[in-house]
Amino acid sequence: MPAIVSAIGMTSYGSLGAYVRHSSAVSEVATRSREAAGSVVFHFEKSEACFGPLRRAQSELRTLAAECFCSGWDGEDAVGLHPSAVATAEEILRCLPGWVPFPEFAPEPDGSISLDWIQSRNRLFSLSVGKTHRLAYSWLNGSDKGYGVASFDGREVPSMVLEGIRSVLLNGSSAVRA
Amino acid sequence: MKLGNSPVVEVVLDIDCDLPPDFDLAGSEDRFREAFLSSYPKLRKSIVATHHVEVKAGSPTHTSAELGVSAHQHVSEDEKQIVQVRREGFSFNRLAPYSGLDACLPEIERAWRLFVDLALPIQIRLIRLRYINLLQLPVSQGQPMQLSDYFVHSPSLPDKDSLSFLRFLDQRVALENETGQVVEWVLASQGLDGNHWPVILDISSVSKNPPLVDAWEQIVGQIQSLRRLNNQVFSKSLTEKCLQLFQPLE
Repeated sequence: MPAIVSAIGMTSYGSLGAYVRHSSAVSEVATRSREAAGSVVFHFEKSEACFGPLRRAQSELRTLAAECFCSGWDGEDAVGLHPSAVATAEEILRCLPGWVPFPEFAPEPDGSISLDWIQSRNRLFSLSVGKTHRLAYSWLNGSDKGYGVASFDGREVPSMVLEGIRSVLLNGSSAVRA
Repeated sequence: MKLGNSPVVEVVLDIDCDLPPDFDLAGSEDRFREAFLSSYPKLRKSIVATHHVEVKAGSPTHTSAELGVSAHQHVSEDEKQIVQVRREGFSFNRLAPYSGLDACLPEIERAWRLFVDLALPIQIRLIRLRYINLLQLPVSQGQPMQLSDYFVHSPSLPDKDSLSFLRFLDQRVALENETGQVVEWVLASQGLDGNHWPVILDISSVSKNPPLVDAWEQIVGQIQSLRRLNNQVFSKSLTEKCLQLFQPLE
């Protein structure tokens, strides 16, 4: 019989957060368990040491969302940022592994939000977050470039996206989020 | 492991899929309802609300809420069985009484095939099998609760003489190297309830190497592999004293 040989994490924050936010269970017991986990997550997130950078990134995102909430935010006919896009972008921030720095944010005329990791004007990775869980991304690394679409399940940032960020920003070296 | 007094309160099978980009959950409500109507006459909608608050200095606060359907829940007459059509795929929920996965598999296959015919999923992304157990642990009057009597790896206190548990939450996630399946289990209690201490043991395992949507035999094989893993975590997490509460039959 196969054996469980390695623990990925004991009460890892990310997996606990996903446990709280994503469930197709309907029973009252499942709700109780999720609420108990939710109170732990809520308590965790008060920690400045652990979650200060996340909170600041969320704050930037929400500020942008407020500024670009109404249609015509660009002075022309841009669509207001979609609340679902803002919510999905927040989930992505929570799911980013520790080695990924938080991105810069930019509104897009169709109501999507662009999450940008910019190393230089020739090395960047851009992720477009819209109303659905399908994420369009594109990257530029010198003379190389590419694009794609990946699905986000709310639990883990798609591996293709992480690989793209790593190759563009970190150049194969490891870095720790500031 | 078969139990005469099963603590399972809910079993959830999720098959998350890539649905066609133009799949419209709200627009397909009637077609799914008709397909599932004979066994699932009740329809519920799982609604998500996204709230937006716009605050600008010197301007009135502007709030808005956007409601969206995240799932259609097709519910059986006795409300013990549910088929869900979600934006992320398919779910089958079985509430207590639970007589084992084998008894559910024919219906899961039937519902899955209906889902595939109507939703036209492009590929399966993952299969997740979740057992939510409610363990009613007996408490003797005046006696402190000894979690180690019931759980092999029980949460413990730094000082047993001066402290006693009011509630706890313990989550673990592990990889099964041979299969690549990931299993997560949560042990949670909200404290004493009369003569019992209810403890939730929520075990969920995931396969991220799923077969093609029409390869039912392979899908079943993965579901059974996930069941084996869940059962392994269950039986190896509980002490013999705890297992005896549920009257093992074999």
